[in-house]
Amino acid sequence: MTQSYQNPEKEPLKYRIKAFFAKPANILLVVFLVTLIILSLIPLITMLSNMFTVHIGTEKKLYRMDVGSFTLKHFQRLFAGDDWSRVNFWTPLLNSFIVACGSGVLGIIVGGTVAWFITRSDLKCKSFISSVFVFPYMMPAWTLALFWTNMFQNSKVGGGNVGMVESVFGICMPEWFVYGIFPMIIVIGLHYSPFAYLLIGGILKNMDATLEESATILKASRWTIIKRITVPIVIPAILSTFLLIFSSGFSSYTVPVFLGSAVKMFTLSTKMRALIQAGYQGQGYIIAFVSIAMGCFILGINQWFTGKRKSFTTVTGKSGQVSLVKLRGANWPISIIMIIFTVFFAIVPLVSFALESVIKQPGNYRFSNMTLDFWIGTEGSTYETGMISGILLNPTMWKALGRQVLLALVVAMIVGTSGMLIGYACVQRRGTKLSQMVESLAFFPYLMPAMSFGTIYLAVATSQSFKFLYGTFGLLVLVASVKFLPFASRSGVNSMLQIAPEIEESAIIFGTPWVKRMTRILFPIQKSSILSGYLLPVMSVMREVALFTLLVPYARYLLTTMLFSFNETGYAQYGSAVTLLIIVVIIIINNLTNKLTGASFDKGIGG
Amino acid sequence: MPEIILENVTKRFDKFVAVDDLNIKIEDRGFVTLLGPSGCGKTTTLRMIAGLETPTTGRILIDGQPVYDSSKGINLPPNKRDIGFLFQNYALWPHMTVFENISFGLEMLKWDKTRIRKRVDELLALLRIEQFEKRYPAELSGGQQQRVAIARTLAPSPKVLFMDEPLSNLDAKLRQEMRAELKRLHSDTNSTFVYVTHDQLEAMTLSTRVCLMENGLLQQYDPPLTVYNRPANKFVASFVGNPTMNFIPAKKLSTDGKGLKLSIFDETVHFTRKEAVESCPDNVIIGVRPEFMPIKEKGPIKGKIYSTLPTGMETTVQVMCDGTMLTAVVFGSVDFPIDSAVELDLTGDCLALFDAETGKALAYGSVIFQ
Amino acid sequence: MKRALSLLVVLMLVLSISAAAMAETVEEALQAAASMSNEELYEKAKEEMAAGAQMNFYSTTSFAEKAASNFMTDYPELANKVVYAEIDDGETYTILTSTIGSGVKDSADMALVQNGPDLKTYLLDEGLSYSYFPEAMKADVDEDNQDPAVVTFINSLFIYHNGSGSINLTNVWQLTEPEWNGKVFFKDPTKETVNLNFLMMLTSPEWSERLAKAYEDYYGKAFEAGEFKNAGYAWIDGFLKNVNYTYTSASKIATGIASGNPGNLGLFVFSKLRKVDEADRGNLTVVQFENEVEGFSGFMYPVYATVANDTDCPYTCALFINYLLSEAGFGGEKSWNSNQGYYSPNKTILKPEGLEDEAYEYWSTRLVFEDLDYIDENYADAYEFIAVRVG
Repeated sequence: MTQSYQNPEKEPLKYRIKAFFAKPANILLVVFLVTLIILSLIPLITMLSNMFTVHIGTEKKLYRMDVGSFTLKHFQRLFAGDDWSRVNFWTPLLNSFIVACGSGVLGIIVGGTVAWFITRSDLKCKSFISSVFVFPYMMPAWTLALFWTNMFQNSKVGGGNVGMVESVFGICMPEWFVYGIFPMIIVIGLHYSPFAYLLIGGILKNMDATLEESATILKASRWTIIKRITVPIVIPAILSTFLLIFSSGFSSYTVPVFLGSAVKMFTLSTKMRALIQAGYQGQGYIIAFVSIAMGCFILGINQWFTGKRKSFTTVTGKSGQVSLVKLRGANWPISIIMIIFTVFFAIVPLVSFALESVIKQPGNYRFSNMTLDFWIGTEGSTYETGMISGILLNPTMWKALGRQVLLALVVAMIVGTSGMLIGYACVQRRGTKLSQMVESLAFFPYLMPAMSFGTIYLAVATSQSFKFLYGTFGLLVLVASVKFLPFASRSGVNSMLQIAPEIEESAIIFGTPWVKRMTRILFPIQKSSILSGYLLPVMSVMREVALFTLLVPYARYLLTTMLFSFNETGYAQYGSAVTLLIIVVIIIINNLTNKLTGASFDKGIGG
Repeated sequence: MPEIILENVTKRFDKFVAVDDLNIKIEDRGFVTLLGPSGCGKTTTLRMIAGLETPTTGRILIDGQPVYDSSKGINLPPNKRDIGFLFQNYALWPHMTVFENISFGLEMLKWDKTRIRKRVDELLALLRIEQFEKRYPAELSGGQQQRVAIARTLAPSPKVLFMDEPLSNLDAKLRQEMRAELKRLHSDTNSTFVYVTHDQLEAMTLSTRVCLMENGLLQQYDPPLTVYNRPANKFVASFVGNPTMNFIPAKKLSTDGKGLKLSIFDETVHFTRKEAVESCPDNVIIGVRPEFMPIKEKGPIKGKIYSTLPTGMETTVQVMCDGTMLTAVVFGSVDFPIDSAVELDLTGDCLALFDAETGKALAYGSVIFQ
Repeated sequence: MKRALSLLVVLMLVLSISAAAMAETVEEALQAAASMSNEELYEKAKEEMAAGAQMNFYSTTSFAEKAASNFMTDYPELANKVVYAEIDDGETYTILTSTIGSGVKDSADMALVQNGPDLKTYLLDEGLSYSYFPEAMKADVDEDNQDPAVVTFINSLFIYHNGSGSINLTNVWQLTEPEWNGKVFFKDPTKETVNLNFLMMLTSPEWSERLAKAYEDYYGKAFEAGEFKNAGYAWIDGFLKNVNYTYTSASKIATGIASGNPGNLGLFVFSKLRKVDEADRGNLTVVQFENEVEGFSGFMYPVYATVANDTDCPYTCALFINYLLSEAGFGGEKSWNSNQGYYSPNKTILKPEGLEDEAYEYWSTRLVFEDLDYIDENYADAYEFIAVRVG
């Protein structure tokens, strides 16, 4: 008698583990889970512990306790409810919140409107608008803030320095327009609006046009359709865009420095830095934590909204036949307004940077006041420049540029590849706890304000076990990779979602090994989208400063840290020249990649 | 009541002509099918009538009212054309419940709440989806989604209902069921239906008239049985009917009044026409539906069994005759051994005679072997 | 086997003890260096460099870069061995406390830092860095400026736009009047520690007394503390109410005021006048060069040299500090002394002729100086008072 097969109650653990790791997606998920825990949770735990410990210096003296001992005093002090709490926490919190919400809303309105017009209407000059509209996203945010003050400062506000608008039109803008919350919202909102444009535009482009058409047939007006159909369907994209802009706005440091000081308006991040600098590290870290908590809160709302029931997977059916809304008589006026708008925020800053970089005395645009010394001047140049020569002849500048580009490329390789693999693994194992954990962990670094991220990594890198990292290029690579992973993993997930599982399955049946499936089938199919996922970190690194300020061995190590110190200390001409240089480099990299592979960074977000 | 007329409608996408000089008239309460292979311009035609696409030139009238006229610059938007449109992928709004989806169009008509409620309930009952009222589309199966989409389209009682391959995403059984429902709906609702499909069976079973298109050109616009029995050309003949029509190459030997002498498979046959044909080229093709090609013990055409495909009710038999593959249909289950010799006959009076060169139908009639 | 093992242990023990005895700590090296001549130090420095060292020094003042290149010209065998890295004032101590002692390669061997109280709290008191001062210079430098060693003083002065004539600032209490609201430009003291230290110093007994006297002279009545602890706090309160933080750096204040509205006043680093374009420079007047100001005319802060406790080249550091204290180092080509607003603690080094500036001695009675110990003790009180008023 043969023994019949008996189905065991449970497969032995050994076999289950073996079966689990037989899938490459599982291996990837576990590897990323461990790596991400180490790279993003360690900083978080460091930060949490910093909230409860006594630090060297002021705190040690003040509390008369040993460095490193446990304390709740930071909380007691920061939330004591007196002027100190108000000035260092509550007012800045409110300011940050207003700025973050305002810029989130503005970014979405501007970006969403442009996205709608570009993808859904027969607007004129689309390609011009869409390519130029993304420029502000390539500039470091604070350079836009400087542009704003250069434009609108006037003899009635601040120090009475005459800006372009006053010198050309004789108009003096009121103080609220030039400094404070209003311009901060404008600058941060517009800086991130291209981002909203790309994200929302991507959804609109992929959204089945029949969803709108069927409402048209049911006699809904254009406006009703936008309100009741289009907007609710893109709501998840809008919300996640809002989350991203909110987090960035909430933790923005550079813009408030340039726009807030004049009216004594401070945000949480400027206060955080001041507190840490003054030796109140514990309270500084509490503020950093509040920024993260705020991001998590918005993230929670986001996930609640995109809950299971309504399942917004709208990318179905044939959507090739998008019929564009005819703007008819309004077409030219709207197009012209859009062009003026994009030109003002995208081209005019570049022109103004170009101008600022060639004038000797700020505010005087006469030809006699112009010089190319800041670009190509040599050591003999007459005025005190703070640098030995013009930036194009300066080896320090070229080295800094070289490092920045190298950093951007290395980070892009790491982040792009990780993003693609995370996307692959998460999509493969979609719905499992493991894949959810990896996806949210990969997103987590976004919620960490760049400034505190840098501070924490400095602490980690100078601890005994990781000291080999400090001051090295590798540390910058590591930090930037972790920080910019969120976008890449999102774009990875998006692009992998668009590949039907059958495509890989048919290759499995042929016995194609995993690496071949990735390199020969999946990657080529989504080539442009994946490559775009590589491009986005390039740009992020090219204009990032807050993350690097503490980690570079010295300010002129990278081009952006050099630029920030130029701008902060007042080397306006060098600052403008370097800003232009950064934008030009980003555009060159983008166009080169586009020419060679068809990818461009704007495709990275839209997916 | 609405009657839809298309006059010289042309649609070009850049250089590609999607629809070329189309002239059709859709009668009131008709059920017209736009049929053709994919890319033939049928969906474009439908979307042009609905107003979702703008023709390049031509004129479209609904109910005597020009909704589009390229010469006068008239172009009514879809919401002014009093139509309903059922999309291939249903286009249900994912963020609205079944009820909200259906009531949306009524809200747009500014109906009051109780009236909306009543109408939606009516439709929910009509389409037997009452229990899904509060669900979201993602929580419904394909067939249920389809019913919701129909209910939504029907809610404002449009006079004209356009459907773009509404059944193509359903499985075979469900499709069969929904076909019957659509046909009932057509008679219940008193509306004009315009229906796009690439499935000839659907077109045959549902419509009062079939509009067959290829490469943007109208091929035939007739009731389904006319299209079946008197195809205007070889393309129509081969597109409609399953199994497909047999095409037997023939040579004209001589003409005599209403008849022709032809040679097929080295046999001489006499073709009797129903009506006179002006001229007949030397090379022609005889089109024979499989059901008019019985397998007999003794027949004029000799061949060998290529394969036998029994379905239970009937059996499709493929026979190789002199290098030409012929298909015959036999009632009931029959199984012929492969390569066994059989003999065939040509019967019926609906055999078609096509110009071998142009594919144009020359005549319809019957043949007698001599 | 067992015997071999114990032998090994003993051997290692002996080795490690002798190694400890032989190695000289950085502190000891600096002590030794203090009494050496520059020639001896040069020899030692060459040895250090030969052993693979490189002297990395961080500095908040860019003139140090020029000084370093002059240094390498004068000591040619150290060429390319002295590496300058600019460091932002706000990050100085975060970076130094993190890197010193962590064993990180290429971190700072020495640093030129401002903000004495932080130097004391974060580095010296924690033993992370040491002071060094050469014996030979002791006669030429005030004792107050020797430990930690000051390499240069920098002053911030009241300077105004003279487009509408003199502002007639004769008493600092004028600046607490409402008419100055928004017209006094000063860098945010919570972002610039030397500015913070200056304000803190005003709360000291010495300066609050001086301010009380100035108050009496200005208002014609004795100062009454009221809600404030002393006249220093009262002045800060009034002053910060009027301050405008539009400009984020001293250079920007200088150029901003020069091209801005007449009558605006700034309290900023005197040496930054060099950043102002020649066409505008005539718009600026230093109050002190017009008339005496009762109270003070500004403040003076030192830049200190400090040597990291884990340096591998203490003698090179010592030689460099000697150099900075000498005429050659301080007054070399395009270095500190050839500019307004930098003063060597070495009293034998005078400002060159033809520069519109005065000697260190002149300023020492007219400006507020940092007192490390006072700030150290009163830090929290004063900081909270000031931070709350910055807004």
